[in-house]
Amino acid sequence: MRSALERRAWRELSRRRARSIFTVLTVAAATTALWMFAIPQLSNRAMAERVEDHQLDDVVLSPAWFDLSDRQIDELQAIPNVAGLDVRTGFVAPISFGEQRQEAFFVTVRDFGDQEVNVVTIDEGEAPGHREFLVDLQNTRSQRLTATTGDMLRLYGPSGESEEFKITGVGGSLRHSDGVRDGAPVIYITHETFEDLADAQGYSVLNFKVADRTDGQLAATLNAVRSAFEGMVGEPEYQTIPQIRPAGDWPAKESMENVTTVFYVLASIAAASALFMVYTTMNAIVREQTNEIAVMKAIGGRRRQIAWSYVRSAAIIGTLGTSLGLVVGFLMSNLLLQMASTTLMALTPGWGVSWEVAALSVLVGIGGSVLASLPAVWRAVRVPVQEALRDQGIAAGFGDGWLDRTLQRSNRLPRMTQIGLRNTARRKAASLVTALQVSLAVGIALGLLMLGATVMDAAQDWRNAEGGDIEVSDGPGVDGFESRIANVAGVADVEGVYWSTIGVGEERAAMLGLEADTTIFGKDVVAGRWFTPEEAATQARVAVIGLPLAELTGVEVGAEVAVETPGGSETLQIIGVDRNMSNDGKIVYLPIETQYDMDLRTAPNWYWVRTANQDEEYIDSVASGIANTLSSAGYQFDLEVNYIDARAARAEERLILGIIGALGIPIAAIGMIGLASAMTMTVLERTREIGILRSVGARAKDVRRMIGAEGLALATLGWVLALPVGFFSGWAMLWVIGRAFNTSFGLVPPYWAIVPSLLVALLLATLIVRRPATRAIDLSPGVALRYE
Amino acid sequence: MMSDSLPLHSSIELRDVEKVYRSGRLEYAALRGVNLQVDSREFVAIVGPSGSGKSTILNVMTGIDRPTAGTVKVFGATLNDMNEEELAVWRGEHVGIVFQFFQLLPTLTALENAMLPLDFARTGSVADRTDRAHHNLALVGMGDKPDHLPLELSGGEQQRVAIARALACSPSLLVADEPTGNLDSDTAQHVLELLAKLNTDGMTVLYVTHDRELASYADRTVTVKDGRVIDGHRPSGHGSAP
Repeated sequence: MRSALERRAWRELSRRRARSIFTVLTVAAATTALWMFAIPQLSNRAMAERVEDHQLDDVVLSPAWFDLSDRQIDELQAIPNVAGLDVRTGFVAPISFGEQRQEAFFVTVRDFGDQEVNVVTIDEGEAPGHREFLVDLQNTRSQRLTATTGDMLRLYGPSGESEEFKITGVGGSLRHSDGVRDGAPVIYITHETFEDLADAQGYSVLNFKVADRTDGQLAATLNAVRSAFEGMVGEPEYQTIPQIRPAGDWPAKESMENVTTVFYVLASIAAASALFMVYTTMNAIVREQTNEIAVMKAIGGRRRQIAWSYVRSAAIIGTLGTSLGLVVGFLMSNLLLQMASTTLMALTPGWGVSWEVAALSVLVGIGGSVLASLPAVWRAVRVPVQEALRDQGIAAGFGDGWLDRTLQRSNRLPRMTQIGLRNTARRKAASLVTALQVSLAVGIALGLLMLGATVMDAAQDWRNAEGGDIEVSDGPGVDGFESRIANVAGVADVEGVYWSTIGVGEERAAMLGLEADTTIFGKDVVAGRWFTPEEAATQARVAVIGLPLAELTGVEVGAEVAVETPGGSETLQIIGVDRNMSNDGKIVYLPIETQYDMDLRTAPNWYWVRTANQDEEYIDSVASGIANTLSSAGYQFDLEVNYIDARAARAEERLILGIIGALGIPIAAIGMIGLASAMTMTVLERTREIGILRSVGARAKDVRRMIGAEGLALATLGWVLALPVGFFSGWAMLWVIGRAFNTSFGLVPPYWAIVPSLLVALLLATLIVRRPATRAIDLSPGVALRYE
Repeated sequence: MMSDSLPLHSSIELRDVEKVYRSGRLEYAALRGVNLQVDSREFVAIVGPSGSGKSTILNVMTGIDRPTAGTVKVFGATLNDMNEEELAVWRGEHVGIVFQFFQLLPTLTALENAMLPLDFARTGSVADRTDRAHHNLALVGMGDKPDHLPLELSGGEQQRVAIARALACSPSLLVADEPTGNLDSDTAQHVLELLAKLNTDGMTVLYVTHDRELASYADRTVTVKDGRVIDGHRPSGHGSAP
């Protein structure tokens, strides 16, 4: 047998179903938002499975060149603790598809049907046969190379000769696919095809994975493999030290972790706004029942008894909302994971549950609902009985403030509009909370737009900063190289730069020598200054440092920094900080003349070409002209057309912003649920008054105008508040992302979205109040007057 | 007068009116076959114990509630045939209603509350409506507090404003549901004297009370019990204090 107070707690839910449903939805939205925290964990779990499926290597050895027989490979595979081993060749060669010419990265596979390490999957079509190509599925996704199954690709030889090859399918590899995003398109061929085309035998990479990585097993196995390998091929010259994949690491993990940072920021915003909604909703429910609480106190109810009854209602709502949120959160987190994984990692992970987040959801959903109700319950049970019994849904001091007086003077407006506007001032705190809900939804949307606009703008600037339209490298210091490029039809400007490496403290960075009055490089100096022609002429030891490198090393403008260059130790005076993100901002810019002097060089090793016309087809034709000119002159060179990189980068940025946008949808939805809940409660509160209005002659449109005016006033106020909320949330997200990348952004507020966001807020408010208004109008005045 | 055969000239006719309220599984018959006629310019008090159906009679008579059965005709209009919107417009033009708990809009001043039905009816210019509302407030003795909000008025003053609001469109019919229920005896007497004066000026007035002494202000008292009209005699004269 339950007490009357316990029954009240349950019946409270069915008493006003719309309000209960919205409150449950608000709690559900809060718990759903928490599931964003599950995405990084789920992605790691999915990637661990993928690493297993794809037999990702643990160690990569990169000797300059070597050849092994099948028997020798078998012997290496048989070394204890080697779980899989394979040898491959990777090389870069120019290709063209249509008019578009670019460098592609080729990977050879000895046998597509029997791969032990770094498995290349066939996702469409079939494995390539002799003199056939398999293209990586990321080529198309990144828009670097749109050729697909059945298309023909032209491959160029070192002397400019070319031949067309058929694409038999599309596939991918965990090890190589990631390189497409910020490198070059990847094409897989059989090793036999490579030997045929190159008219040579041999491999460039040896990959293997181990069965046991623990307690020095990996190091011991590496030593055993190296020892056996060197016994077979002699003393190879390694291009790099052995690359050991840290446990739990995988390609694209860094990119994913950067996106994860954004996930956490958005998840925190979503959870905070949802909890705010829960608090305001609980507050509104209790406030609405001030009169009833007074009645209970008047008939002997003690504060604790009454409070417990409301807390119980909150717990029931919390339980229902959490149950729903668990289901929706599970679905949302997995769908977002699928979207992010497909975009960034070219994989479709299986569905998974994060039990930690599930537990957190239960704690926050139920516990948060109860906690959120406590302040309102605390206040309500302390209102004097007499005051509470007289409660008419209007603050005691109504009419005294400047706002009330101003609204009372608004006599030129239609009467119902006046009433609607004044209703917003009846309970100012409640109205402000409703407006804050609008501001959160609209503000976060504006913040996300600012994030997108700023990142896109910065990325565009960074892309435009260097390289011009075409880059030509690997032809350094050869007589006539630069002049031959300059004489190609369509070339407007050629600038030679020198790219090298530098050690600043413990950081390895790039060193870029530029002309002091460079016209192709887009400087973005955020502190100090750029170097002068005079400094260049005197080979002054001055440098401008990349912002991320400055952040990492703590170097400031004016500092004298000891650096290591290929020419030896030097001391550079830092005269400026630049925000471009070339080499992820780990870069030092200095006069090319200074760099020549330091590195004992006399000519550039990289040429940036600006074409006369920025049309893509025009750039393609100029690139072909340069390639033909240099090839026919017998030069060895690499040529890169920058718009392909830019297009690939833009495609990736759009996808990442798409993911961020998709993450923003739940946040906006939370705001909208809160707004709908608040507006519905506001209209329900007015039901009795609507009955009075109908009794004294108000038509449906009069009532609609009153409710509409109130909704529009709250939406407008919310929109006004949304502007600083949007700016601040955008700034906060960019600050967090900037910290992750050790950089900063020039903020690009989305001014164009200010007016549309107002229109959207007004439209949404109009739509949201429509249904409760119609319900209130459809009630007969008699029912409305009896409404409690 | 109360009769099973209603005369044709009655201004208000309730014929075989039933009203059943449904709440979940429960049904409650508030009116069980009410027949009632009220002539034009009559001053009628409806009395009866709590829950007898007196307020429901006023509600069906004004279209605030719809009868479950039977017909309601008021000044030639058959309320059964009208939808909610038509009823709202009709009330605004022909009926003034005074509620027990005043039911003034808390965000509007006394003057604005008194103007509200005129705004709904779009009667005259705003200046005309303001003049009319001032006039009605003066009529009920509230001419000196037009700019006060309901919160700033006493119960009696709020009820006077509610009467001024009911008079806004010069209705043919004024109904008042327990208009003195929340007032002290002196104020209650003033309110009823006001209603009597309005009746003298030509308005049909019906009011509900459970107090037989207060009912004696009316020309006729209709007694309601258990959802039925059981008596409807006319006392001699009206307007004198009991």
